[in-house]
Amino acid sequence: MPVVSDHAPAIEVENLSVYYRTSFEGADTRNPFKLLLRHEREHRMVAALEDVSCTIPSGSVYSVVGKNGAGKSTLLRVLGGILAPSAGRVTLYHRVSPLLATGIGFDRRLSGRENIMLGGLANGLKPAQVREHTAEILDFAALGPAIDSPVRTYSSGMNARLAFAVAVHMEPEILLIDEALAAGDARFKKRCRRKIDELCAADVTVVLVSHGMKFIQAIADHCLWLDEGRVRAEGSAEDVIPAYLEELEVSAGDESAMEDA
Amino acid sequence: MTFTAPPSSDPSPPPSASGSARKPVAVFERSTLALPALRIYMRQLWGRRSLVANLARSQLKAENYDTVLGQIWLILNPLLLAGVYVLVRGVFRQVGSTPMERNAIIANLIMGVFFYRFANSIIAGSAGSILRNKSMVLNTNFPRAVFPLIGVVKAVIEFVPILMVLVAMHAVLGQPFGLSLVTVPVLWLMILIFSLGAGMFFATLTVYLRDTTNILTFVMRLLFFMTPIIYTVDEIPAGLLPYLQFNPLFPVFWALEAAWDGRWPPAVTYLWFGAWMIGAFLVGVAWFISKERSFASRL
Repeated sequence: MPVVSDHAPAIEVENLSVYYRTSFEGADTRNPFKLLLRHEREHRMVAALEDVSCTIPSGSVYSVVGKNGAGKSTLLRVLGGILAPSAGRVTLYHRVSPLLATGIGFDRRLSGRENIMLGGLANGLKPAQVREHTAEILDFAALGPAIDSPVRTYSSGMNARLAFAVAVHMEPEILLIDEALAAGDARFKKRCRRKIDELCAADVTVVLVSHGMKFIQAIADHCLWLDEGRVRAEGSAEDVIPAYLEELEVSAGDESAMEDA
Repeated sequence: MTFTAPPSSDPSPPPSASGSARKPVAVFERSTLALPALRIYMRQLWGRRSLVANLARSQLKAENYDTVLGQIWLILNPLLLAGVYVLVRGVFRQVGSTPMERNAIIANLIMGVFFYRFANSIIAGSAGSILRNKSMVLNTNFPRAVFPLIGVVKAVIEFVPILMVLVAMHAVLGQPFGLSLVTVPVLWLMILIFSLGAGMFFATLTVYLRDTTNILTFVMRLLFFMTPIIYTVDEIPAGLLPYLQFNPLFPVFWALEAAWDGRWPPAVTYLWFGAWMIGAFLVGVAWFISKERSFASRL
């Protein structure tokens, strides 16, 4: 269990709401004239997050759990400054890595090595700085000669390894990880755990979204449980995760949560 | 969202957000229509210049990986296109009455096709850039102007070999290398700025109205035929001229035709296109960067 160095917040989320406006065709789609006019379509506001408040302590591994569509990825995107809040406020006390760990694949036609450069530059590093880190990234991702093949030829596990390797080596103060680890194999997950422990020791805050409950149990010290966009529970991982797992078992055989742990 | 400070590089703190003594690095709130702080935005954008250059280079490389002739297509493509237009024009109308006149018309046509392709590749490339780079828009938070700028850098890189071909063709066709050619780089730069502004305008529009890219293809095709490329300005029937003048690109290609032919372009063409350029750039850039914070929620 990583050491929580102090209780100063790295991120404060106050009454955050995010609404999406979705539009889809109304009931009468057979009338082509109605289809042509956009205002004939129905607009519906969907709340991805509603009145979410939480405090993420610096140097902690903060996990976000919840079923599909609970708003986990939306929350992460707001923390990363990618999505704007519809209401409420997010205050960051550290520099957040502007790159979500899932989103490498800058150009799937290019090699892994070229994508490392692009990922680093997107993160705001200079080319020389990226080159400095390249050896470590290659070492961590352990892709061997495949690093010079186009990323489109990679398996999802290789993709995840490369994405995670790039994200953790970008000198982040706050690292946002979205499901990236789900596709990695056991050995890689072990390496990830070691790396995350190492980062936390250096007071890096890690916010983690994953369906791999075993992994989260092993590594997280705080946990936020989202349910349909609302906070169901927040607190120490020892308290929140068992409650979440219990609910999963109750709600008829949702075993997928344990599967890819 | 009042984007008080960008999270990656700028520590200019917003007014105290909480009781905490520590200064926040960034505060995200509900988005407003206001422009972001331009100085910070430009600094962030400047910090991504290597990213723009790298993405442009690598995309160009990747686009021509799979073809046998590879990068040669960059030149071959517009040349063949120009050839088709010369052919089409020859079918409908005699290409000049003397060999001299014929060569001048062909030289102008090739130049026009190449320059129009330059403008079109920036406008169309920028317009689709947000949708095309969806996964990057959803997973990163650097200034979105990076995406249209990639298209500009690509178009400029592609234009270098094309310019060499143009000069060679100019010589082969026995056209004058007059002093008026010094205006060509200026006109080229004006086309670039206009196209970037128009492209950013359409990029924003595309996020809200996906049909834009489809419509734009036809608009650009129509404007091509409304531009003095496959015909010269002299050949335009008087009755048609008022309509062609609605085309923003009309005055600049009029100026290019004159410059290419060894004449000084009329001053009115600069002023006219200059007004379009400034208007398109200001409107396009302002709209794009005031809306870009909400792009991710629309994809």
